[in-house]
Amino acid sequence: MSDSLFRARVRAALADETLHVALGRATAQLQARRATAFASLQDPAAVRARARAGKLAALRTLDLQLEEFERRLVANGITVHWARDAEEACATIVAIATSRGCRRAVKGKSMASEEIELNAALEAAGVEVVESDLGEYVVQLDRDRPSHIILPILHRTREQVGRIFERELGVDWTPDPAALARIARERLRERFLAADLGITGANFGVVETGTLCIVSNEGNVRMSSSLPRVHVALLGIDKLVPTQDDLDAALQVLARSATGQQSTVYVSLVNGPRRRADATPPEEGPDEVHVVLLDHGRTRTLAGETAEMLACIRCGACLNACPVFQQVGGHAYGSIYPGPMGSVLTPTMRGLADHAELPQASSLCGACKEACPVGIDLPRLLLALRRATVAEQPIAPTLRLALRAWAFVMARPRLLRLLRRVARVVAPHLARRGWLRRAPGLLSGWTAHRDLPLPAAQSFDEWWATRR
Amino acid sequence: MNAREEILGRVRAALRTARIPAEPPPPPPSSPLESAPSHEWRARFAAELRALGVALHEEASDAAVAERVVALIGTRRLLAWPDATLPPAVAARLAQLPAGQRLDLAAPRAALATAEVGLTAVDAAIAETGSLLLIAAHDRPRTPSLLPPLHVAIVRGSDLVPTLRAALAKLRHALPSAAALHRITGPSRTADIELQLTLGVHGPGALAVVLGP
Ligand code: SF4
Repeated sequence: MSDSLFRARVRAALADETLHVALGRATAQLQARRATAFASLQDPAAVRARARAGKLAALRTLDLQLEEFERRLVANGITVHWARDAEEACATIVAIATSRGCRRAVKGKSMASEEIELNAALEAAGVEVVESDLGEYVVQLDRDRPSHIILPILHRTREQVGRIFERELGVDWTPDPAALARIARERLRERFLAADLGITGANFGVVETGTLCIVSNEGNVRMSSSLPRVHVALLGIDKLVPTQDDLDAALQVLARSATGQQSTVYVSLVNGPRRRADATPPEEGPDEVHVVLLDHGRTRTLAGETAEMLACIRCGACLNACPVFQQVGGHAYGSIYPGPMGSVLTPTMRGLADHAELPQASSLCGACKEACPVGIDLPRLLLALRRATVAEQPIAPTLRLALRAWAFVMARPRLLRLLRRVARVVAPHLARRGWLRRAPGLLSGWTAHRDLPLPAAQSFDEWWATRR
Repeated sequence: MNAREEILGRVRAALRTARIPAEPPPPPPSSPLESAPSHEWRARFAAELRALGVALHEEASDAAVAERVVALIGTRRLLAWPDATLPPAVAARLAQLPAGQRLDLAAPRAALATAEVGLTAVDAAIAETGSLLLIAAHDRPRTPSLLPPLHVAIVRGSDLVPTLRAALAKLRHALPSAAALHRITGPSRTADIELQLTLGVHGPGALAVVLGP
């Protein structure tokens, strides 16, 4: 992604008034719900601390945890695959599908599958695939991309969803969310009953028991993991928690942070394929369960300063809390992981060189850190990435000159005072409505992206002098 | 090098420089309900169900439970757990339903999908969150709590536990051999369109709990 592309997307998003209003309302509501949900815990800090500790403990010995997890999965009758990158993950899942004659897949919501662009790979191999989460279904019908990791169509109004259904499904237009959900239920019910392959992500992998934990509110994940004869779960190697107690804490904070619920409606703990196909009637459930463990850049995030980022449980709270996200929405980030978490994940997983703009897209106000249920110090990580950018890429000669000039002036109080007096006289002539939108000379680079306030009538040191 | 070895190698290499805060793990979160008397579990369970929009029917005897279940089913097509996993009084009462109303679990899936009511017992019920825990096994089919628009769950007093931790402890012998465990907290819902709460997207849009003695 080039700088100019990123800036163009941000400009487009900022110009979209409807998007603004919708985003502002939704993120405010989500934050209020989250606060209420945490208030129902006797000791929210203790639960958050335990959830964080579980994720960090898994990361600290991740190699051993992965090996143990694999052993437990295999003992439970699950087939384990490893995928270094997106291509390998797609090829693995396509091979599972084709070798078992699967032609109709249903999918639960999975950010990892978005990451590797699995749908395109399956379709190229002749496997029909349908998204079953309502939001993802709309995204798929509209050939769009999700704009939020929890609420994929946060950028769409109900009227727009009605138009998409009208156009793609040939139904009468309606803006009623209940009616739209009913249409999706009917259409997808047929697909669930006919599917021979279910694909899901997983929210957590419990090492001590070799269990996959997958949550959903709609029930589509339960369908995807229960009805088709083959179930494939794709999970990043960062999804592990050591014990059931860690899972318990993680589930409590995930539901609260993501949607403001005490508990997600459906929590599926998958231990393996059905055990008694020979019983009468035969046990329900898949004949085969496959787990694909995906790296795809996660080991790059794990190295050095940014390791803590892998404790992320993908709750979306930092997106909702972020003033930048509230203004530009998810698509502007140009990555399926938007907001503060994405601004750390994308450059580390995909390479800083192509995504150097993302860590800059933050005011470092700290709202994300405050919101994060597992206490990830996002501002610190963003700063670390900014440092790394500067170390990797030579800074522009004009910026270097400007910084030198700034340092020169700052070290000379008398010169500073003189320049300040000049600025007070000159600046008002350049300002429009109290802001400097286009400053001269070396400052023009700054005002290309940010407005400058007019110099104060009295500076702090002048005020201080009058107090003594 | 194969993918497994290479990924594990990358993990080991990354861990040499990874900066992961070393914090002593706090104890697992505990809930005041764990030490509360069991009648408080019952009250909390009822309150949580109400908040979730679940219809709760408290009955004082096994016979009353069976009558309530049959009344809830009415004349609708039923997909139920096998008799062996239902309370005997309920199984006996179901035997009196008109022939054909209760679907045969061995029927093809398309037939099961026509059910209008699903009936199950539960393996545990969590007071703190109003959740039901259902093991998936050959005698505990998954579809009755998943496909029909209404799910009726029978909860006995002895199924009640305070928390998820307590439930997992209670089921620890059954779990390792089960293919899956499902926790259900309220009816199927979504808020994907403009954060509007909508019930019954894929799973049952209505959930009723018959709570016995
Ligand atoms: S960084 Fe924290 S707040 Fe953001 S999605 Fe991850 S866990 Fe949630």
